[in-house]
Amino acid sequence: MSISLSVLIIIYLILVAIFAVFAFFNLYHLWRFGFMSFEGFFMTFIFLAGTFLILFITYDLALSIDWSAPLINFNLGIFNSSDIIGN
Amino acid sequence: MMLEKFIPNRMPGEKIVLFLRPHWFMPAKHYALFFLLALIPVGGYIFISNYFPNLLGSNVGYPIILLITSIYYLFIWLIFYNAFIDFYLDTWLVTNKRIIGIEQSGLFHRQVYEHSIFNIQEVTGHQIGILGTFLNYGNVNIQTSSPTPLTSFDMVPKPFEVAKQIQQLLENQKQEVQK
Repeated sequence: MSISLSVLIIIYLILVAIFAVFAFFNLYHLWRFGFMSFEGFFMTFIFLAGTFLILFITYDLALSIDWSAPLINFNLGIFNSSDIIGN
Repeated sequence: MMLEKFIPNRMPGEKIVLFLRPHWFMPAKHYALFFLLALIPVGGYIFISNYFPNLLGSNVGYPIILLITSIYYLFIWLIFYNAFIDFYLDTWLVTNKRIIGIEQSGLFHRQVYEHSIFNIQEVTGHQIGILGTFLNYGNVNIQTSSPTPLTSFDMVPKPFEVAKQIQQLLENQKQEVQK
């Protein structure tokens, strides 16, 4: 019996969801209380563009990973050391 | 002026005389810190590739490093944007009738206060430190006769000019009332 690497994706997505909630509150504050100007729009554009860039690079690099590979193999012991350090 | 629609509970004939935000150097200090924080994974990558090169090629190590780095950068980016919002939403308005302070501290703490221009007793400008002197920013303290006697515009550009303009406004308003 083993747990696959896809568990890491679930933890990652939970953290991305927390990020999204806080990002939403920031955007809401700017929209609700902000004095909409070039600075506000510019920084929001930079923030959103940077966020999509980070997510896109992560997605692109994650495509080459076999997420069905075991993270923990209970038959061999927790965190098979050879898998982690690649020996 | 387009900004006048943002005056809270705007009175008839009320016009913005000064629209102030903290000096640009205040968020720049935070941005420099975020730049340094963004370099930490680069240092980590150099360290791992020198001392644990197999980790980057392993089936488990590489995905863990990738996802941790991604989350790290996302949250650094979020804190960066949050610092901008903190700076951007701290605003002081001086109108021909009132002084209005709007201060944002973190995501869920927002304070709005106002004083009638006729409650102002004394206005003083202060420049603090070497950077304040060279970059020309500082505090403007306003003594009022209201229950909260002291109001401060913190780290605004050109504090002495701001203090002078408020004093001038006060003189003009007093002269208008006396007519």
